[in-house]
Amino acid sequence: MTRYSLDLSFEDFKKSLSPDDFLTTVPGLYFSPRSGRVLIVEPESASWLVVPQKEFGYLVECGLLAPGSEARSSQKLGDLLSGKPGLDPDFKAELDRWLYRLFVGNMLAINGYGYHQPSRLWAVQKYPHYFNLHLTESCNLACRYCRVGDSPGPFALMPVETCKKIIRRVVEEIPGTKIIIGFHGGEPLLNPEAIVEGSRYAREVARSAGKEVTLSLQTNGVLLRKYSQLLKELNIEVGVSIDGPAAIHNRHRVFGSGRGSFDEVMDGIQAARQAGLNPGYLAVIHDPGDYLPVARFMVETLGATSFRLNFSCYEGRAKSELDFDPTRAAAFARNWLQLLDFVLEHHRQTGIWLSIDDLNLFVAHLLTKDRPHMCYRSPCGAGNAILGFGADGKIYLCEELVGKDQFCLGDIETAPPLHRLLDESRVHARASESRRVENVAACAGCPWKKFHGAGCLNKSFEYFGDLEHRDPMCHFYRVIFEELMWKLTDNPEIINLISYYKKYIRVQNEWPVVMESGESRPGPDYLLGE
Amino acid sequence: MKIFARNQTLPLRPEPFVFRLEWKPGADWAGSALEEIVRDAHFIQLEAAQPLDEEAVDLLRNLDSRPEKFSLRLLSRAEDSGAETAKKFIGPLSRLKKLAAIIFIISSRSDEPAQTEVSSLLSAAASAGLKPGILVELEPGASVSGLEQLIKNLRKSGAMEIALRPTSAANPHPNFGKNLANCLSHLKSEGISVSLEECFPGLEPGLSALEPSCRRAFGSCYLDSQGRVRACRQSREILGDLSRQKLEEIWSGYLLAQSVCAEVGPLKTRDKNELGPEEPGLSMSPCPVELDSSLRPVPLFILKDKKWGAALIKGLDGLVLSQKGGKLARMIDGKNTLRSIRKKFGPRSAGLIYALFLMGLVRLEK
Ligand code: SF4
Ligand code: SF4
Repeated sequence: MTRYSLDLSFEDFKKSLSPDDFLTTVPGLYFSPRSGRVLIVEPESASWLVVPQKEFGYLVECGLLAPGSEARSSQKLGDLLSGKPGLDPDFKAELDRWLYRLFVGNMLAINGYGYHQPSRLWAVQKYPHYFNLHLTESCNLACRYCRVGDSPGPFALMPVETCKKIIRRVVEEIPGTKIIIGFHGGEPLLNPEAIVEGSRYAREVARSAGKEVTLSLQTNGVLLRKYSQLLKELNIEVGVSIDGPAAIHNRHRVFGSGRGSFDEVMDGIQAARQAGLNPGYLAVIHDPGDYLPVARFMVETLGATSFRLNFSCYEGRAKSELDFDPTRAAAFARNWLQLLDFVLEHHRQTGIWLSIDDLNLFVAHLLTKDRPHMCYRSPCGAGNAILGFGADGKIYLCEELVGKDQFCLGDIETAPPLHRLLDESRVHARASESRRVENVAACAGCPWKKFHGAGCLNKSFEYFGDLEHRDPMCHFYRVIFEELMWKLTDNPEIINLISYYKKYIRVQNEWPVVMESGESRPGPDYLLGE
Repeated sequence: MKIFARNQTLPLRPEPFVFRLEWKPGADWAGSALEEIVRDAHFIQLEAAQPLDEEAVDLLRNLDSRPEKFSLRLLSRAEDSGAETAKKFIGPLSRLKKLAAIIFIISSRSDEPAQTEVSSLLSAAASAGLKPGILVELEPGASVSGLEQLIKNLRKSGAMEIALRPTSAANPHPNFGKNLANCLSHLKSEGISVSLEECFPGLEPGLSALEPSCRRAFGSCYLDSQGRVRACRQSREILGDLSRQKLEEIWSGYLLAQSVCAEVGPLKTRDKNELGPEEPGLSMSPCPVELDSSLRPVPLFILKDKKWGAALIKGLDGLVLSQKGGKLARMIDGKNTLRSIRKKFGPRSAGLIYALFLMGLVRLEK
């Protein structure tokens, strides 16, 4: 038995202790006291622990924790056990248990090092598995926060040949056995020919290359009545963007005339269901007060048990049409946290655990070192988990970066083999280096850096104009990770919120909570990375 | 004006990488001296001597856009008209990438409305993604229990950094040391750490809770708004004038610390057995514990090459090494094992690595 196996049990740990072991404090921990307890976070390994105030005081007194000290202090375990005669006997009897908790949380080093080795914990993928094709930059709506903005590029529609070439090249030239092709835009249903031809071709080339391919499409729903049957036949997973009840949806999801699109979208959703599709739902929240009404709408009106709530971002048309107060993150955090009570209440009433992205993911981040979603790795998935393709065949580091020259890797017509393109691309190397959380000045010392990972490259770029800034919604993450820790401590059943993520992560020791079974949907498309 | 020479027998101070600057509109160091500061700085702290204004924010923007790598910290008074103005600037300040923290200065005597104002400032700054903190200026005769409550309240309101300093060196705090030390260690046992921004004249030295972050002129200096260089805000000794001299004329390699900082005496003895700054040579004592030779030291420092060796810098802290020590430090890259370092630098190098480990400058990984 080695003390450093990642499944170290308390019993094995206890057996391995020797009085000659030297214990060393760990600097750089974050401490947050609240109502008679203290939350401790170890940023490098994303570990955390809530300790009652009394025990916390003893741990400080014993020299095992040293708030505020940048140096380490060291002592022999034998000396600790024999010294401190005045120590509370109950605490002394439990000392092994505390040593174990601190050790597996990397909050205490034994013989010089900790349980987790941070530099080995956070590996990212080498090559992407998710390829997102902008079949067009045009759209039949003119949503007020649309990323594409008002001026689609010169290629209104992606030519079928370009679409097929992209598909063939990613299947043949990028290592990996499972791939996802996502049809996005603009509104991808404006280019049905590329969808039909591209889907059939993708299955064909994947079959001959011995790879597994998943196809997905994100639509505004307006054309779903027309194309649902076809999408069903092509076996494409469909996501629909709908912002909630009419009063909320119609505020921003509008036609060029300014008229809201709610009725058309609801009609499209109905058609999709009639065709036997089981669409995923995505809402964009701009007013944080909308979180609860939108969640209620998803559950009560759409009957969804799984949906995604994103916040609006400062880009494209949003820059001129919407207001972005620099302090808006606080209200988002406050309102977002109410979703937790909503989900718990729903479970109490129905026995069903709702799956709300990214609430599920962020709970998962508290329980595991795995980071299944590419956007919360460091660096993020741009170029290593995802590639975006413009309608003109240009290749970009991410779907969100399509159309931005600074992040263009080349053109599908002229690019060298794609794995080589990625290996040799300076754009890719520079972006990856800049977005490592340690290299973003504001994030390097952040307690939540390995929970959040410095945030989206694109959002930082759009809001601040470079890659060197933290996420513009930084404060949201700082608040919610801490709050989730407190809530999970008081209410361990929250572990059930991780929903489909449990398939993709390994929950660490100290969380032996048995999860209830029952799952509504498979995971979303970005999760298949190897 | 004195020019100090390198001397091996007294505690020595390397040239500054931490600059504390007093800001007033038209501050003298804001001209050509700023170039020198920016070149050498790892950390620049700007203290606004009056409420923030456009000019101060412009200066910060200018510093923020520099290609050199350093962090900024802003100290701003929160009282009187300060709070309102500060709030106005939180939006623009939140766009600065180098601004590591914004610290609001508050007096230990501040009344409830002033405290409420600071609380709202803290939360506005935090909401905008800034890292807010407070600096409590202790008035002579301040009550320790009042201080403790103030600190707890402001921590609750979101102060991520809490520091103390005396109102001025001229206001000593006799008979205050023990009480303050107790108060701070009590706060510590509740998970609230408080640092001392500067020394407290009259406090008994050596109390473990009281480690001033001014580093006693170790790699740091203070510039008043007229460009006069001092060891720290409290020091009366003027080392030079940046409006007329170059920094390297003022601080040629090392400074004799005792000449500039009265507090260095105790530091000298404390540092004796560590790889402290007073011994630029690589003096290594054997490692007192057995370290697994397959461990890999991971650097938590930034290494700056100097003509006399190297400085290892972490936050406000640092260590000076000789050229040989600098070479060894360069081998600390997270990949080399203790075994390979020992092979190159001999068995006693483990002692140095262990010292760096204890100083929090490296982490050991398996
Ligand atoms: S963006 Fe904010 S929360 Fe995220 S890692 Fe950076 S500092 Fe931390
Ligand atoms: S974080 Fe942003 S840029 Fe990175 S992969 Fe996700 S969406 Fe793309």
